[in-house]
Amino acid sequence: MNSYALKMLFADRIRFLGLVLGIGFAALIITQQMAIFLGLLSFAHGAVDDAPTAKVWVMDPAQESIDISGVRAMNDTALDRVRGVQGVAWAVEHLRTPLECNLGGGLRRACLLIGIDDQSWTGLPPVVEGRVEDLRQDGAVFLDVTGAAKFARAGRDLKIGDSFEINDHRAVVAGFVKSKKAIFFGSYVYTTAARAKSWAPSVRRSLSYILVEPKPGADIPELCARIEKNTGLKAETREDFAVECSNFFIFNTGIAINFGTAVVLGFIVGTAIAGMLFLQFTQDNLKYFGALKAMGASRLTLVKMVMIQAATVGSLGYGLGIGAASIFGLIGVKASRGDLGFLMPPWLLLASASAIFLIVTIAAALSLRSVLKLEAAVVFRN
Amino acid sequence: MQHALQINGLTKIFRSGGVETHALRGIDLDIPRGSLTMLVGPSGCGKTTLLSVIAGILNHDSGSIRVLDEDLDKMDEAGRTLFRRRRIGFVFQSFNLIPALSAAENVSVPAILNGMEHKLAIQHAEELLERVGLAEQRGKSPRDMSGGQQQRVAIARALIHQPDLIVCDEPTSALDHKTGEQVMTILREQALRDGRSLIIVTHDARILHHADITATLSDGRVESISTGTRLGHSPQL
Repeated sequence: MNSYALKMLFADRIRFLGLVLGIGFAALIITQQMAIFLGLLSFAHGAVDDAPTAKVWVMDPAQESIDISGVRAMNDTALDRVRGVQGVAWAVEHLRTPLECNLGGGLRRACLLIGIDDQSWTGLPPVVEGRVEDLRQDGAVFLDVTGAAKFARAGRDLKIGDSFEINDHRAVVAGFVKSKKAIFFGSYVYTTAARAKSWAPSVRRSLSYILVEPKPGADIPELCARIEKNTGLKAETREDFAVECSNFFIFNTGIAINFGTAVVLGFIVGTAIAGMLFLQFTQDNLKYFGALKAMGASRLTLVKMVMIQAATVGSLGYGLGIGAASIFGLIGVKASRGDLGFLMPPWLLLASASAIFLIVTIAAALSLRSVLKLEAAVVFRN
Repeated sequence: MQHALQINGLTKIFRSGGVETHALRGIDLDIPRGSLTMLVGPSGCGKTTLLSVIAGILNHDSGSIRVLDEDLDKMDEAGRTLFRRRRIGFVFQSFNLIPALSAAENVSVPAILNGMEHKLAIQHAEELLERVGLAEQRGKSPRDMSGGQQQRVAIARALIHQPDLIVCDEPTSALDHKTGEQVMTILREQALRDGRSLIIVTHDARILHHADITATLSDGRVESISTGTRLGHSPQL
């Protein structure tokens, strides 16, 4: 009877399309909003991801996140203290100072001056143009391509060899890197740690982070605990720090509730549309279900018929919604040059499928209730 | 003698909002197998309720009922469902053919419910449609067929699983006289084969001459039972 159930479903084309589109819309909203939320969350720890070789991040104990919570700098002696902890193979300084770039012609833009170790280059994202060694040249900086694009949109299209000013210091573009997208709205400018210190305003404490490589075989969480105990600083694995950055973003902005509202709304709208249309569809076919019941169709047969109808519209709607969300993501990310946060990991597809399954189950349950409660004797009442 | 129906003191009361409606007030009725029985009587006399109880789709309150020598009282819901599926064929007043399915697919439904493989069920359905004169219409949707054609499809559907009893509710009321007569002829010719029994609820006096037994109901009771066609002595409808 399953094929007949499907024929009944497909025959009512308008309602069938309405059901698929309704569920598809719900799947699109749920998936797209969640994907943007996850994309934005990934921005929250983009700067941490830019230093994949740094297995441990050491910082001031009050530091809660990278960039967006500000920088609580440490005393310069902290670097030596960390290097002295047992299990540390090497440790390098990592400076992050918010400044302003003077691009000339009165054009000024916010930037984050990032000072990195000029031996290991730890913390420098993949270079897309230029040679890393050129960063040692006088006044040399590397620009993040996304940041450079922002400068270009503002009217200054910088190329290798071009110069601009940072805090009255002449910076010469020596190359470009591809940073992970981050929450920080300005542009990333990379230079050596020593130069970053000399360009930044003079302050008593200038060391933002210390990036640590554990000795081979060292237990990293144990090493973090040891660094914290011996130095009084905060030490986190790269993964834990990334999670902490995401959590800071979630709990200190209204992002979760905003996106959560959209997701819940998508679920409610989807359930309402699917439930109403599916119930209408079942009500329209109730006399046929009654006739089947009279002719001896078991409850199981009727349940299977309704469930296969629900599963079909659910699957098609889900596929449509996921497809539309994927296309939105592809086009959006490309059109926005990476500004659109959009991340669709496999578990999100599973989560969306679960939500759609729930919507379809609710819709089917509403319909099944009327089918199973139906008295077969209704077929003799005209 | 084998019985299609043995009913003794059957009652059925509908309760709604504290109001009791006595639909059946002690029905006694014996019908032998292989007969065409018509249940007649004025509206509200309990014909359809009685047909529903006979078909096992409505429970009675008291009395006893044996259908095809099986005691309906001793069957639970699942047992009655199985009984209907295997042993009873249905013809409804408004046909109740599924418009999304072709004529052949509609006819195949009871066979598929009884476990017949789909392809074989369609093959049987096409044979039956040929027997009721609708071989050419097998692929058509019921919505593209006339009322008479739809009722013939419904008859074929009632026959496909070779039930022992066919119950019909007003099979000709939606049809003109000529078509109604054709439908009754087909019912007689096709349905009464192989010792099968037929119970028809009808208001249509024009088809009473087809009856072997006519039971007239009035106010929830069997008022009279007549055997054979007795023109000029038609029961009050």
